[in-house]
Amino acid sequence: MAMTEQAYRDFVQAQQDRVFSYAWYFLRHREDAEDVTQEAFLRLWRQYPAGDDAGRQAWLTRVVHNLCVDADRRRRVRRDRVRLADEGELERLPDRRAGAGDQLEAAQSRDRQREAVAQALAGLPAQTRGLMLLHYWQGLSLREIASSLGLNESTVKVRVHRARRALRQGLDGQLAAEVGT
Amino acid sequence: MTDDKLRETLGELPVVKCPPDLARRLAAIPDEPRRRPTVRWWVWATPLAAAAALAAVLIATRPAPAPRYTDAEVAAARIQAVETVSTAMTLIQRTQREAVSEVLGRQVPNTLRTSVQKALQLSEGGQG
Repeated sequence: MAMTEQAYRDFVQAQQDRVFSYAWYFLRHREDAEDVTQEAFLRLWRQYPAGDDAGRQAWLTRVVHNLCVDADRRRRVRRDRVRLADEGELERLPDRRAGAGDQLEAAQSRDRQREAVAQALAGLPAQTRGLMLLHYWQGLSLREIASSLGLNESTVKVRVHRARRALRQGLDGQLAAEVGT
Repeated sequence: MTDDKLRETLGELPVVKCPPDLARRLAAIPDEPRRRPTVRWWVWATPLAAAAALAAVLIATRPAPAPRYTDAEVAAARIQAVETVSTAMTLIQRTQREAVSEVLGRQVPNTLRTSVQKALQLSEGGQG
């Protein structure tokens, strides 16, 4: 049974920002993130994974993660020839925490912190970067990640723990460098 | 940065909006005609090429069949064949000659002699 156009469009509408954001934070390269997002939805349309929306979402998570890992590998090969794309045009959705009376200074501080985390994240190995995003940013449980990526749950747990430690160390190093300058 | 702060900050990374041109491309995916899954050419070409290569190697390395007779044996056989034909011809000629001499030299004269003797005996007895 083929996926109906309406079902596809509804699913895309609900998932496209999440998928693009994941690819963006994973790759930090706009064109690559766009390619990954387009390829993932193309596969969704052509293959029509069985199950409900939750099942399809898990399928999409796995496909996007694997496409990101591949794109990251390819980019490492051609790193010398690629200039990171300008991300200035990308639009962020409104901050969930920002209130009407939010102070500008506090908001800027949070932005800096997030950018520092995003940059430190980019320094992690591809596989663990993905796990961190899935667990802390998308809010998937370790079991859900293990199930989506076909990994053992304890393996995911160990990798997330190590990645968090590496990320914290990277951020502390970044902070020390900023203080030093 | 504390562990809790890190988790919190990661969780609050803003969602990046899908760029409008990409969103349009995603929405247009169903408009493309569905392509039937095609068998990629290397799926059939690879085993075919492998089989052809294997056949070529086998043919190239196959030992040439050993000759059943040596040149000397063939020459000897040829001589024997000529001799056999020659002997056969000789036998035929000799047989023909013997047959002719047997008929003309013995059987015909004997028959004539017998006939003449009988005629003589009849003529003498009739008179006597």
